[in-house]
Amino acid sequence: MPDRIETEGGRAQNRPDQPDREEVFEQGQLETHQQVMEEAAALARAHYEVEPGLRAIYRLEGPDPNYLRIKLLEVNEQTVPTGIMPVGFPPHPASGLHYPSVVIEVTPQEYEAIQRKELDLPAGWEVRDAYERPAGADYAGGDP
Amino acid sequence: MKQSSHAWSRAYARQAQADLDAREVLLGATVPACQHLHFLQMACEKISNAHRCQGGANPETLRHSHGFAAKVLPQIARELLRRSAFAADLEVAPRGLEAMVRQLAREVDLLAPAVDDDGRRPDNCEYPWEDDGGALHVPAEHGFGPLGTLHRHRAGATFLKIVAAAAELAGGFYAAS
Repeated sequence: MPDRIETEGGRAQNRPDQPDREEVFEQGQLETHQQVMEEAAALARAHYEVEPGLRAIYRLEGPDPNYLRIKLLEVNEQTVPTGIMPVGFPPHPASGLHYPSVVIEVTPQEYEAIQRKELDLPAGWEVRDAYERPAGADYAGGDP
Repeated sequence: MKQSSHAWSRAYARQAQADLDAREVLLGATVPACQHLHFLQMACEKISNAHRCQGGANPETLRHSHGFAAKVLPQIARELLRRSAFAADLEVAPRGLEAMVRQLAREVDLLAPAVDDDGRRPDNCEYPWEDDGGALHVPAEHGFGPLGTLHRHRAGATFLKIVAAAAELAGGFYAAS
């Protein structure tokens, strides 16, 4: 028995006892998006724990061929200043990371240049909310 | 040798960039870590060669040399700091950055089958190896220590940034000089 039936107007409908495929698809997308967000937060926490020079980590949003890729902007005072240079990492399911990620790591001075629009992020990418530093992950520098 | 060391340096840098681009493509694919690490290792080797060409090394013999990333990449990190327009404004000098870069670069060097620390590190990203206990290891199933978890290793992002910047520096700077 087919899951979908054709109506008079030619529009496919689900059989009454079947869930709506579009709704299921949207629900699946929402759940995937939620998982990406959770893993992004976990990755940010992990970075705070190992990088003593991190002042802040922000979520980045913008057009991306891989729309599930985690995108982070990290302000690190213990890095080399190179301008905007995204670096990619593969998924690592063993540590709970199921999606590829990309990090744009900048110095505090470069971050200020981003804010002043003197340094451009990749086209269409925008800085969103900051991730909180987990308790115990001490910042090694001055005032964050 | 007909071409100048500058031309050879640019050529190595260009090929290193192609390796980094290939690594980038693989990051979104379901492949074992050894595959994208292989491209990272090849890129670092060519970046090192680009740098060494400028130091007077014979470009044609560099094809057979391995294991110089641990020496060259920390130098490039220092050079990046020195050259940057922002460097003078750094509030805190990166602490231990060169040491971290050297450690990770050494791990990258060891990914080449020809570099094994006199047999102590047979792990590599291309060929299976047998350990002292007789167990057989396959690169496609190996974890690769800090390089396998670079996404959560201290200075992991910085290291990759230095590699990418070094490729650009070798290609761009030497092209202009």
